[in-house]
Amino acid sequence: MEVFFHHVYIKYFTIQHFSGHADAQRVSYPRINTSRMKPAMEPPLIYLNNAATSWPKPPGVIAAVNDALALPFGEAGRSAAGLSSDCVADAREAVARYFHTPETDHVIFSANATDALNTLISGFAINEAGPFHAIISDLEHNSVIRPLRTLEAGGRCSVTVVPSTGARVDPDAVAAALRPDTRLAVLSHGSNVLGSVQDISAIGKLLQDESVFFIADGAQTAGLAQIDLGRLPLDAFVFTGHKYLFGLPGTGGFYIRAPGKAASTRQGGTGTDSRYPLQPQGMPEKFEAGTHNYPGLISLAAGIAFLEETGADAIARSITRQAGIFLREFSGTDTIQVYNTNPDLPVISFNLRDLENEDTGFVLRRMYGIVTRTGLHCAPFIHDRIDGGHGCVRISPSILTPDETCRSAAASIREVADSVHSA
Amino acid sequence: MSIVREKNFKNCADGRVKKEYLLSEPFTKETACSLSSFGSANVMEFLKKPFFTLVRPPGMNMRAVLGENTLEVWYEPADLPFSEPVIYRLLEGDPVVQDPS
Repeated sequence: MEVFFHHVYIKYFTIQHFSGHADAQRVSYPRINTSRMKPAMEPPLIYLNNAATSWPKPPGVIAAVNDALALPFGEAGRSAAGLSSDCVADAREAVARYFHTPETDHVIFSANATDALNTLISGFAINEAGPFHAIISDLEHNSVIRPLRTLEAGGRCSVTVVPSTGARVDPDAVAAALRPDTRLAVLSHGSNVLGSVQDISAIGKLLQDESVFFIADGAQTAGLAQIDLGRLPLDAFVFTGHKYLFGLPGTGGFYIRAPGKAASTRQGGTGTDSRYPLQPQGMPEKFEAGTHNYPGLISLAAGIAFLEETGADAIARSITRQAGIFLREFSGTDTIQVYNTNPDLPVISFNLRDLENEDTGFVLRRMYGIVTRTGLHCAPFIHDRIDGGHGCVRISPSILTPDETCRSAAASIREVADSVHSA
Repeated sequence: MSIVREKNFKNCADGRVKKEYLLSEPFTKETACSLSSFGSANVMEFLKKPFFTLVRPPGMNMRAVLGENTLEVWYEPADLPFSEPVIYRLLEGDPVVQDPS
């Protein structure tokens, strides 16, 4: 798929701003004129850190946010302003449609995947009468490890870390970790270090048979893998908006199949049942309180629209093609150690033989304009296994990264590796 | 040479603190030599641009591209209050500072 970066022309337009008085006040706002977008502009950097936050954003995302900021927000459930559509409901429908969730109002918005995981893990623990056993894998992010270790430190649970084999979690290893008191499993769907996707269908089936509450952390797969929550045997699925769903940072959430399995962990205004002193237990109010991130949710809906327009097949082809570009360039040499040569996601982690990962990242950024992520990637267990806990360099293009950019970056990385080794 | 100001500050995932300094003039080979008493220094001239790196165990290191006006330093948090003033003085060519340890 050819993707062009666009010049974004900003011009001023004028709207009538009604202040409630008879006199109208003219106010000017900057606005993106999408009709005048033109191809041509190359990004100033070779940005290969999409597994952290995607960039660039699709022009439609930028335009949607810009347009929305020019008008008052219609407050979900609270206001009759009606000056714009209910962006929260629109985003909820977009997420539900994209992930094929059976119930739209079981899609809950949060600040990000970490926030969603905290809500689910804490909410589940509140509902448990006594201490319980939980299973995670060594691929987990600190957004899973820390909430569970905190519960463990408080005597609320014990945690078993299932080691991955190669880059994947073997369902049999999860089955072997089950105990009579196992009540919760939280597993990364896609590894942010190794780019591997776990078989959450097989794992979910065996956990379902044991009545274990299963949360899949889809921070790295949402927007890349085809996810059908109507069919997957999951109790909850967590997503973030700012990575491969192409929304703004500050967006994310989760889907929960049976809301009664987790208690609400935040209370406040919902725009419903205002005389009732406790948090309403209807959905989605049970897990949402306070004002939403309106611009963020508008960007999330626009990002999903871009993905739907692009199509799952094109996304899958892009992943294979981009990973292939890097892996071919990195093959046939022992100067580049790649930690997973068969990634399912556009995530490739490596170290150069004679250069510390931070030095590699510095050289790539300062000499070649290549933005990578170095060090530990908030997933300490897997680093202990693959690189002795020292960390590594991670590159992660997106479907908006042109192939030629990938080729150029791959050649630059090989050049650095060969230069260091031959010196 | 001197540090004009701190450009960036970051608490890193491995627990260290990263600071990027704006220098009053470009970092040179002589600058690298002036810092060499502080740790194990290396200039890699074979890269696209000459690259300076210095390691001071247990957890401090610094990096610069020769010819550019910035210096990146990673500190152990406990070491920061002691090491940072020394780096300022070394870059200013303070002859008093010989062995910071």
